[in-house]
Amino acid sequence: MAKIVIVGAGFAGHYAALVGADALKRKGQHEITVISRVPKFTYIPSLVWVGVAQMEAEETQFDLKPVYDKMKINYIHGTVTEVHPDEQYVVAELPNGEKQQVDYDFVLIATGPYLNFAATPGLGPENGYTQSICTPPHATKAASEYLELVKRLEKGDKAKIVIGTGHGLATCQGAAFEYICNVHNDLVDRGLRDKVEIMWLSNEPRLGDFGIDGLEAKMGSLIYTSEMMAEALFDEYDIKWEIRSHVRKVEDGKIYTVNLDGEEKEFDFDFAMLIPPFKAQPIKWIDKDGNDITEKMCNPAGFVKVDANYGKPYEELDGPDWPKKYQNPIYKNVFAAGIAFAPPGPLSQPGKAPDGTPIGPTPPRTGYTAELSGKAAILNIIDMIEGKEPSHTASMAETPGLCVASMKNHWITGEAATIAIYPVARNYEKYPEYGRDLDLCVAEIGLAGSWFKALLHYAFLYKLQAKPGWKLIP
Amino acid sequence: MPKKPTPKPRFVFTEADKKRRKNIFIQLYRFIVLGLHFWKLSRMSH
Ligand SMILES: Cc1cc2nc3c(=O)[nH]c(=O)nc-3n(C[C@H](O)[C@H](O)[C@H](O)COP(=O)(O)OP(=O)(O)OC[C@H]3O[C@@H](n4cnc5c(N)ncnc54)[C@H](O)[C@@H]3O)c2cc1C
Repeated sequence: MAKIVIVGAGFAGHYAALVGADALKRKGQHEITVISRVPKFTYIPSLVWVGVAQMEAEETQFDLKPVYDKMKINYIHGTVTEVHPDEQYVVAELPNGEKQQVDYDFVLIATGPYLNFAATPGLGPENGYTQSICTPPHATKAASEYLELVKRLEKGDKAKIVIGTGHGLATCQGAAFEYICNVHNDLVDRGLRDKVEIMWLSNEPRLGDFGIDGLEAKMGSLIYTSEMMAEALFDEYDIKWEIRSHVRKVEDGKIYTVNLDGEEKEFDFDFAMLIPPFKAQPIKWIDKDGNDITEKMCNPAGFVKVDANYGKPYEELDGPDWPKKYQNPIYKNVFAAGIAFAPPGPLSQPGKAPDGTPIGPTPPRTGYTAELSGKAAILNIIDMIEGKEPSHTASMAETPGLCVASMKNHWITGEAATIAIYPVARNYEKYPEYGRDLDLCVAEIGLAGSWFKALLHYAFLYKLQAKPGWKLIP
Repeated sequence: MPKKPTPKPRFVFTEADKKRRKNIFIQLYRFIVLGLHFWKLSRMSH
């Protein structure tokens, strides 16, 4: 009997658990245990709507335990603090403070990001002056701060809103883009838009980069880029932008930045939502002699190394360098998926300010990419249980990026950008001209996207609760 | 690494573009077309 431990129950870990339990149903007495810090699954993409007070955080969540009971998956509510890969166990800290040792034959690390607000002084809703929409409590707080601002605007005040990224190495620009568009449209609907200046502040090298090095799509005989789309949209929405920027610090009502040209700037704000940089969850890797081998197992940000080609400069990085099987090269029974795996480098052009401050998006991994990597990892674990070599792949240079960026959530007046890219990571070896197959790439704004976005919310929450027919939903 | 296209001149959404984005019949059609495209791409990766 093999024991599989999955750490984290987000898109990567939770989906891997469902796929694994389903695949192992008729394959003997194997055991899957999920350890998650939070007893609920959160459909993070809909937190954008929570942040503009159009949805309650509870509507994005469901309890994990009943789903795991149904799928015969063991569940431990706890936070993993250590992995002992030689002795094959993890240490989980339970909510009552006790520590529990959980043995494994195979472990899948799917712990997502640690929101590193401390990297920028004054950033974040807990010890700083800016809001975040990255977790349900953050999005709920952002909504109440936003509604406070709305009250002031209704009394006749004017205000400045800044939305974007809060550090030179932040990622997840797509979520901030959705938020700025939703805020704009919400203020239009409330008749308050003319009282507000809205600014996009980001570390992107070009507008519309989104941390994926932008995208191109065909429009008749023309090539249409995400830069063109974002510029035209921000012009239409009267949103100013300041890109190629690192946030040095935030004070009450003031953001201090430096950009790639070395210019230092200050921006006033009444409300700001800035995405923090990500690092890995603080998990220690300890060998059989008690030595801390975290540096050997992980990249400097703490993300777990897998079967990627690490160490290449950005200019030389290409499709084949991206991981395929999500297996650790040192311990073959260790896998990592979703945001928890260490990418071989950024997707977007990295840069440096004259003083050496790095400015450039680190690579995002969407929910869909997280699911695909989690699925490949668990199926590879099952291959190994059956005595085979891991055969399942889901490289970001061979799989599509499917994303619907909400701009306004409404069945009749809504809008969203429907974006498909293939593959996510440019693969010049396969597609020499653009690194992507432009016949498969789409970027289109419209009401249809808004229907998709709403449908995805319900479809994912249905699928991930393993309700009847869940396997049919991609 | 091959160079990417530089987007010039600046793109602007025309009034026709804006109407198209909100036209319910066009958008129903686009919903089907884009839905099928997403389905095809997702099948390529599972
Ligand atoms: C506001 C916002 C909007 C987004 N919108 C989209 C979108 O529209 N489309 C899209 O595709 N992607 C979107 N994303 C990105 C998407 O949410 C992520 O790619 C995805 O959540 C990554 O999945 P994951 O499983 O790697 O990590 P997560 O979803 O973060 O899951 C990690 C899990 O691990 C648990 N955990 C962490 N540490 C430990 C530990 N030490 N022990 C035990 N458990 C632990 C956490 O509690 C969590 O359950 C958005 C992100 C944000 C922030």
